[in-house]
Amino acid sequence: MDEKMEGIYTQAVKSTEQAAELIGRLFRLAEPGAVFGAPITQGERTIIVASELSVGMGVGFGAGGTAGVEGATDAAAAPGAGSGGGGGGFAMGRPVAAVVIEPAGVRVEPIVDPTKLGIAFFTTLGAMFLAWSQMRRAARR
Amino acid sequence: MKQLDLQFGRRTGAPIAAGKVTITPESLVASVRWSSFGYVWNWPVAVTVLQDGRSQRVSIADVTGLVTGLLWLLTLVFGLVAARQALRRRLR
Repeated sequence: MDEKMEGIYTQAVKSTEQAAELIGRLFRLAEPGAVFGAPITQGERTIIVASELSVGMGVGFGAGGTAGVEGATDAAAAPGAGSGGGGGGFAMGRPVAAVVIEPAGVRVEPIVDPTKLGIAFFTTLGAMFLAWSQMRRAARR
Repeated sequence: MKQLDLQFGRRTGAPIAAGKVTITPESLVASVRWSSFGYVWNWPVAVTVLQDGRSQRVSIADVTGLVTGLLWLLTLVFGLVAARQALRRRLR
């Protein structure tokens, strides 16, 4: 895993200040260097892989308590307090293209993801079929 | 109340040396920061290649992203059509 990503995922958050600092580190991924890989040189050819990156993270804390009723002996009226916290996030990366640099010149080779295209295509087919069947039902009436 | 920080723009990275070639990456970045929530979306758009004294800007086209985006848009349109027809039938 990339060092920058590891520093985000393996951090235990113990306070709101730490949470804010962790969220701040997320924005290091907003630099162009984060989406372009290190150049790989083989002979006279150099290849750089360009990727798309999407990362999100959220952290929340809460605390509450009651002052209780003065002089009360009932347990239900005794002062109480509680706190809690939670967080979540996601990360998605996908190679977009390979930049190939040769003595003859520079060219960009798109990296096509057939799985992603297939999922989107069949989802579209399903939506088309759903719309068609609904319109056919409406036309029958 | 914590301030919402929205940013969107093109960013140019530090040049990368690869042998006799120098590459300057360029990407589009969209980011949101609000209280304890952060989101970053970063995608490459071009590289500027400096080779043999000549500078050339090469655009990077995201073929998968474009086609997938178009298909999801069509899915949304067809889904809305189906929902509209189903609602009409229910109201009758």
